Amino acid sequence: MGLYPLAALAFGGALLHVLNHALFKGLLFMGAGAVLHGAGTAEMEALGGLSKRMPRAAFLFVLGAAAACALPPFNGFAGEFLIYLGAFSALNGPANIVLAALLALAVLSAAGALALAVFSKAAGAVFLGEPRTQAAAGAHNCGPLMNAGMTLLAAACVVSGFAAPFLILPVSTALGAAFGLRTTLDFSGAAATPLIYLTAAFLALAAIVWVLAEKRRFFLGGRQPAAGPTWDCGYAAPSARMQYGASSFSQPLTAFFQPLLRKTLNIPVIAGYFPGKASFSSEARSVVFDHLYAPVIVRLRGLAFRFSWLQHGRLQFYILYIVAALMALLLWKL
Amino acid sequence: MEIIKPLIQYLAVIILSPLLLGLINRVKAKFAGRRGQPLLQLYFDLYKLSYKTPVYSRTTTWLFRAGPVIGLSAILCALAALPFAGRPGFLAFDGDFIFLIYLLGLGRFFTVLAALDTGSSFEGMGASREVQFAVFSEPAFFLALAALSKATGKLSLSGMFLALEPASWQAAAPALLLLTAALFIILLAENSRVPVDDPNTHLELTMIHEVMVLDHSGPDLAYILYGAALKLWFFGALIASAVLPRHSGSWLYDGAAFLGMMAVIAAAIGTVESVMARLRMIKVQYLLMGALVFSILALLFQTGR
Repeated sequence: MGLYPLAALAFGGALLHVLNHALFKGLLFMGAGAVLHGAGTAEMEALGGLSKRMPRAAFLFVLGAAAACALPPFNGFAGEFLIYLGAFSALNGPANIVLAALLALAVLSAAGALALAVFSKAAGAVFLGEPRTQAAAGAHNCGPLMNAGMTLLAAACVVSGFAAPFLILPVSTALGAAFGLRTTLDFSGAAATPLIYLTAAFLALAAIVWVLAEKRRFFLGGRQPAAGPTWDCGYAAPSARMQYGASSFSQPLTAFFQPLLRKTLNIPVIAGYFPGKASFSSEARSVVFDHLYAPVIVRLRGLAFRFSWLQHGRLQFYILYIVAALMALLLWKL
Repeated sequence: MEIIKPLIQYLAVIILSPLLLGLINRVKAKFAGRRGQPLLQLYFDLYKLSYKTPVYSRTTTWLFRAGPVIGLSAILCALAALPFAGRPGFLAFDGDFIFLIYLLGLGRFFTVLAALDTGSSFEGMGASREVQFAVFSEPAFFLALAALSKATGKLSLSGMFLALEPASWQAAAPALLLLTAALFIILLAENSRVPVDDPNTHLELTMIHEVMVLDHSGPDLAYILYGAALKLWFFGALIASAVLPRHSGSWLYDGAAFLGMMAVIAAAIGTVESVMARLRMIKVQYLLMGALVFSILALLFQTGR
């Protein structure tokens, strides 16, 4: 079974990713909470420019977004790297394994690029540019405790990004508990060298960033950069509403995935030389939600309600259920 | 001597990269019957821009200043892992190309955020297109490398190109031809060349990469232009390594042949730009899907053998 180590590599990578996912996803949710707290709304189209009003949260959110896109040198990368490596190693297996690996590679890489689109949209629409509404313009910074929570998770994202080789131990312990010693050894053997190289590469990247930032300071030579308006192509009165919004940013992609998203557009008809006020709106429905989740959930709920007479709030009967279940299990095992 | 060879190779790359764009422009000028700008124009531009005082929009924040620095760092780091004339770079490990593709992603992420930081509708438009096209070009790139990995049985970029021999071309010509074609399309798309984007355009509405950097100036713009030249070298070097598999053993000979091949690729890009119009924006995704199909076919050909 030459494929055993590959499966161990990919599964270990997935476990590592789960570990790291907890860190950056927690950070991103806290960031969303900070925005909701500071601006009073979490509607992306109503925000913008929060980076000026809550700079700390903006910095930490961007860091979390980069980690979520699995960008080096943050912690999202190592897990995805091992899954990719497992898929690439599987390319040298028999034909049916190659097809599975091909599918995995295509889906993973497309999902990676889509994640980049999604998180640059979220960070851009919420924190960058000019505020689109009064609520966003009047947003206030979040308190030190709120910032501290996010800072802690962000620091964990950076540290576990650089310290990926040290995370082999907990992951392989978990693998050992589930699948035995051989999987553990296969995983740590295959993952150790690449992860150590990755850490070296991350350090090189950090060093290059530092050198280039210093070099830029040298080029500036202490001169004060001039301030001006954003280039507006000669238009005299740009307004915040002319910025690319969240849905306009993702429009090319949502148009491409129209068969899956079923976006409905409400386009006003413009008639006459002096048309009155008009409004445009679009709503994306998910085919998977509407036609897979929703029907299944409805059926499940219907089924569950049929047994609702079991739940009546009388404690003695509940204890009877437990006893009956235990007795049944005991008899079954006899 | 062996120890400093990667260093010399790396220096050659970071010094010679801007020359590629000079060559492309010279080829385009010849096609148009012009004399063209000096071969070293980009070097002059970089020098001039480095010592200019930048102008920053009042809308921008630290991200706008960090974007060019991180973008250039990412590609400089990627070049350290890139093989040169079939010889490994500093950083060569199993799966290094996964790291390289995600480094390009890091550069893209911060370029896009720096563009959105200006609050300009044009730059938002360019950013939106950039992330859209990456959704198609990134799988194509991954699968092209998967086909190469399958053809050579190696898991590092240096290993793959070292294992690629003239005999591999005899044995797997269709697959290698398809993946070279896929890589060339990805090169054109990732470096915003015709037919995907036009580096000479002056209309903001039609641009992709150039419109994202409209507001950058001074050293920041120099970093961006230099990063673009390095990125062109990065993709060009992948193609040059794929089509030039003979390793004579002589470092100087191999290096010279490799540099000659890079010049040929620059001429090819210049020729494509001179004889083709750019595609309509909504057709670009189909071109990139073509590259994806080429990659998948290359992989399937390799599997069927």
